[in-house]
Amino acid sequence: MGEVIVNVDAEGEVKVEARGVTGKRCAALTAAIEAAIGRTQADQKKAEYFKTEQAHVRAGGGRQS
Amino acid sequence: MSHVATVDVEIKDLDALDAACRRLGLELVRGQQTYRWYGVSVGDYPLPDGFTAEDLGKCEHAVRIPGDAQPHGEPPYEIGVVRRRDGRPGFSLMWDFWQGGYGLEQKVGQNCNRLKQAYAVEVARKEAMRSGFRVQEHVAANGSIQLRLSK
Repeated sequence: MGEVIVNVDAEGEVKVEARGVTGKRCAALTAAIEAAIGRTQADQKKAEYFKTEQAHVRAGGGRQS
Repeated sequence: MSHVATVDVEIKDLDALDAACRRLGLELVRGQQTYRWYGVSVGDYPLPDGFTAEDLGKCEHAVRIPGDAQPHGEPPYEIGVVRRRDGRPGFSLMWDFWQGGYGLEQKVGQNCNRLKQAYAVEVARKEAMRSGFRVQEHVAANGSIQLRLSK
């Protein structure tokens, strides 16, 4: 199970970060927290996200051939 | 999948605002319909969308410094909590920072940033606990506050 880090700096800027979670659970994990705080203005996917998606594509292609 | 979201704070939860006020030694007075300010608009700063000068000083709730102390020679100004008029949910915070609001700005920070920070922390904590997370809080030397949420 991953964790969520909420960082609020002294100017009131908020960043919500999901760590160690894969697939759709990541967005589900943070969506309620983000919605409670306010309006999400930017959502930056980290490198792990793209690695995971590419790995799924390769695995799927291999099974079909 | 991992991601980082940047979130603009919107005041929507009065209970969380109440907790944020207490965190800073302030008081949310629900139902208070006026807030203390300079009293006359000089038109030197733009108002939030949907508000006019006639709306200044009027509110649905107010945030105040408790007690009668006047360390700056005048009663501290107050913050009006007013329902937004730009189509977004929640409340706007209206305040007068003339002369630092006679002590108000020291409490809430420039642009109410300390109050917004405290609100974000309290509303995130509340939602996290409702969702079954354990919450650990850490205050950094630079003033930022980090919540670590885990199950």
